[in-house]
Amino acid sequence: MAWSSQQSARLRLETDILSRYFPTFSLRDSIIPGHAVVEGTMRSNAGHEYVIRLHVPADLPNSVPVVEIISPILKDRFGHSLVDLGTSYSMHLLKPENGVVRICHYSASHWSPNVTFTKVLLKIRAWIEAYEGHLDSGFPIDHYLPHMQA
Amino acid sequence: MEEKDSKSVQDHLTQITQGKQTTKKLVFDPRTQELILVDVKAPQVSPDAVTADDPTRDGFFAR
Amino acid sequence: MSSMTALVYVLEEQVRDLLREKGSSRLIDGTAYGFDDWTVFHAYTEQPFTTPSGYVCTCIVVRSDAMGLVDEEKTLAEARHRLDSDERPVIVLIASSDATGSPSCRALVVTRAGVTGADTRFVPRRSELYTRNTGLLETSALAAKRVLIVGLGSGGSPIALELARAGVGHFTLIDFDRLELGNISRHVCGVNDLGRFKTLAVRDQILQKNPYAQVSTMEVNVNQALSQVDEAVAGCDLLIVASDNDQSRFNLNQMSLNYNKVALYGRAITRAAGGDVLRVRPWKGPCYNCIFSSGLVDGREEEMSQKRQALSVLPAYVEEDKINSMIQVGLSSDIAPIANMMTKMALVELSRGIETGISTVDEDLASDFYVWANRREEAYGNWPRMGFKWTHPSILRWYGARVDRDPNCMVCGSHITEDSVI
Repeated sequence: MAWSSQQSARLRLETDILSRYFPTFSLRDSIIPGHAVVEGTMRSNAGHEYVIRLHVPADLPNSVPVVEIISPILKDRFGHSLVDLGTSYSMHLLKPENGVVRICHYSASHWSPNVTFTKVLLKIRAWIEAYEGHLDSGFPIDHYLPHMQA
Repeated sequence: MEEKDSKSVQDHLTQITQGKQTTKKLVFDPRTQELILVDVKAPQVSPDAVTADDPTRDGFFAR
Repeated sequence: MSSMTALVYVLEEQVRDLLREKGSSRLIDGTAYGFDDWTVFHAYTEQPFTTPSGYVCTCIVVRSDAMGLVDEEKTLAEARHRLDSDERPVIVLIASSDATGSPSCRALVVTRAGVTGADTRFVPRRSELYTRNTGLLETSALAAKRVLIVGLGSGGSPIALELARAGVGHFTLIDFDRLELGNISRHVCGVNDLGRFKTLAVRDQILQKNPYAQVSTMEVNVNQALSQVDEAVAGCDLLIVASDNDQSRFNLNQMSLNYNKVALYGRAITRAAGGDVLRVRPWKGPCYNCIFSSGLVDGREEEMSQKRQALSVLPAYVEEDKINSMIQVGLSSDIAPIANMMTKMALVELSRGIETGISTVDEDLASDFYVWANRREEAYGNWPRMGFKWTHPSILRWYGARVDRDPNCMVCGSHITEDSVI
């Protein structure tokens, strides 16, 4: 099944907005729904770079996209791989797949088609700042970023 | 006055998370890709800057 | 067996089919089900298309020959031969045509004590099934209508049955859940249907109300079978969404807009303290996303009635105890008003263009979004007691909210631009 005309229009809109807010991000493998990703680099205020991958859901824009941090390999302040933490409430992490960290950004019950990729990435940008705060202080990430009510 | 050092930004996030009142807000400036702390009543740092700590459904982790 | 004359129901259509057969008369094996100390029987010349109930017993069927004659002795001998040791009777059906060519059927009940005649009644053909239902709604008018129901739980299943009662002739039922013990107290199906797909169990219930309804089922997850569901939406006259997650509602909302199909959405909030119903008339009023984004549903958390539902919307790190504590269901009687409202709205939509006694209801249902409260708790915790006033919000009344289309809606907004969405 190919993208519907609404989904194609939505993808164009998403990439237009991304080009304004996160210009390094681009859409890849966009032909087949379920395989498309948006990938790019984010830089923290301290200047560290992170490669982010957002998986475009096949039912765009009706479900929460999976967002992964592809590189660098993230470790916590104590040297443990974040992947090894598995799902982590305090670190806002979902179950990792393929050895890559997944960020919990929106719960399914709070998702709506009005949320754009750019809004999602804005949360990831805040998560990165909180992650670096964790590296400095040892506080878990939810010391900096609260949780959505279930 | 703008602040964008990591420590200030992280302290602000902590305050928001703890539900404390603050006179600052966090904005994302797409030109520099930085998160910047500005006074709540300050003018926009750039035309495209967006609030990044809005404690509502869409803006942040919390509602 | 009681001394009263037994009553035997037979499907007229099956007898007609039998009489259409050419050739010599022959004995065939039917099937019968008995109730109430073998005083009532449902007999079939071939396997019924609905799931039968009752206690099974032997049935033999014979068609009269061209002269209208039947070798009764031979037939009864065969019936006696079929009697077994557990005292179950054997039902004999004798089908023939009367002088006017209409089918008729005699029934005999054969036991070890002897042979008795029974009163035979036809379950009529489709055209006659609802002839008495000519009051408010000419139900035959709805025989051609096609309804798609997504979600056959405590909300969707009674709606399906009510629409069948009202004469709706075509149903497509979508749900991938099976009926579990925890569902029984709030579901139209009972313990006899445990373990079955809800779609198939509800289909059988529909056929109990309208044996001639056309019911197709899809045991799929809407969110994982988009193209199949898309086709079903395209082919329906009305979409009824009684699913339990927003993702499916968002997907169905897009489909209803694409195909310009009116959709009704209903849900209960936590512990079924109340609920809401939304009607989406595509492009004329708010869509599901307009309502979701309007703030009207904020603080009105959806009822979690089973673990599968909770797991689908909660992050993976939510602990087992928390999930279990969130599964708080209300009573069937708390769901009933919501299902009833959706049924009424469905009938209004399906009857559009047909002169019926419920046409004025359409004038009253000016709003697209309705709220109901069962108890003063959760979102209604601050409501005053019902008392005797009509001027303040109260439980057990419907309230319509004025909600317009959101011009910035990312799904149905008329001028979607970059500036309107970030």
